[in-house]
Amino acid sequence: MLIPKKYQFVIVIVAAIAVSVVILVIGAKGAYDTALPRKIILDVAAPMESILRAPLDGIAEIWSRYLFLVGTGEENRRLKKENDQLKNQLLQYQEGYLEGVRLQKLLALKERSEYESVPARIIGIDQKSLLKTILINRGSAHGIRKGLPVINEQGILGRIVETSWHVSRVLLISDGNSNVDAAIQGSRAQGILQGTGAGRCALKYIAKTEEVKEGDMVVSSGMTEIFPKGLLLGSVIRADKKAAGLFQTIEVAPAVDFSRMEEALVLVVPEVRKK
Amino acid sequence: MIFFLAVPWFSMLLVAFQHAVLGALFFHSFAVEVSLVLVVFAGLRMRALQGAMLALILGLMMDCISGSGSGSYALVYAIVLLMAYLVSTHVYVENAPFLIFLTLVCGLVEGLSLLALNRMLYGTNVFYDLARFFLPQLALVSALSPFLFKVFHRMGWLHDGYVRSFERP
Repeated sequence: MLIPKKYQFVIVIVAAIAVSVVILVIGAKGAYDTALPRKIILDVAAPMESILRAPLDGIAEIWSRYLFLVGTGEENRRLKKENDQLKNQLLQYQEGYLEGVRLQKLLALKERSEYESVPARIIGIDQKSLLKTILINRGSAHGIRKGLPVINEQGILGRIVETSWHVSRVLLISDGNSNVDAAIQGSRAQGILQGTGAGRCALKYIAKTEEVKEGDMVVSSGMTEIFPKGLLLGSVIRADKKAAGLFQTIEVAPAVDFSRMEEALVLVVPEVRKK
Repeated sequence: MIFFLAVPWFSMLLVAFQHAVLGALFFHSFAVEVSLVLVVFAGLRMRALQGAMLALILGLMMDCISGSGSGSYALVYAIVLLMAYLVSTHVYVENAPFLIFLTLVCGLVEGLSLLALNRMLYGTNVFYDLARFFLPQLALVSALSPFLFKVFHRMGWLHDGYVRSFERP
């Protein structure tokens, strides 16, 4: 060989450098244009990379699932707690909204009423004992007196039977001791609505000659001056003339759902106050 | 002959491996450039033609996989090969500290060459990337170089182009 052995290596490398420079110059003209050899190499190398990466990805997934889950678990607990708090908050807002709707109805009722009235919140319901009563958060300090009628947007609840300074007890119309002067709305037939104690009432002293049918509305007649005239008491669910005697047996469903009361309005009827 | 058939595939596999696997090991923050150590190894231990061929193909593979302009890494690896060869003819390079030092210097030359090439040919400034990523990965690969040299020694099929340093003129 003409070239001395000690220069062979340098010459080969210089040739390699020259080849690189040529490739570089050609490449630089097209900048990042993907030439055919690059395309081939990329097409072959990319799947190779995927294959090589697959086990690593598996390990990374195991790592993230089992080890990083420690942090995720903690975050999950925190988010659950936050979710519970938000649920409670939402519930409170919903409660507030519903309360607002109810109070609006009560306010409308108050505005319609010809009597002075005291709004009250129901703070205790006692329907399981012998006396069917509820407690309201208004007492003598608010002008509440024994005998005053208590209503809500559905109809008559009952009347005050006991008062303290800030709390009063209301005897519900469904109680056996409750007697309300009532009338059938259509026929104006008058009687006494008496509680039966089982969540129902009986309309008494309606003559058999009167035509009473299921669905007839029963309202206060205003005869005893305790309950103002025309307030809704309930509706007839059964009228029976077969029983012996002069009067019909009439069963009435109270208009008020006693299990879902929250606010009430005490009517300060002047006649009752005088008594 | 086996060497020339195997080198393109080996180069592709090595570059893909260091890009996909070694990169992922360090959360793709560092690319452990084993190919650089292999070029240094080629400069110190391999025959001229085989070494040049390996450096050139490795460089072209690196260009394709890393997305650099064609010929960038090929040129830089050829320069590194020449540098390693010139060092091997003057200095005894069998001890580990010197291998680490040589790899570090070759790596710095590689980095600066890439910086200059990118600036001249494409007008891009990769200084920030070099400082942020290249230097830590260079330190890492230099530290690993004695171990990698032992691995390269054990690869039988490369012996086709293998020559002990003292046999060189």
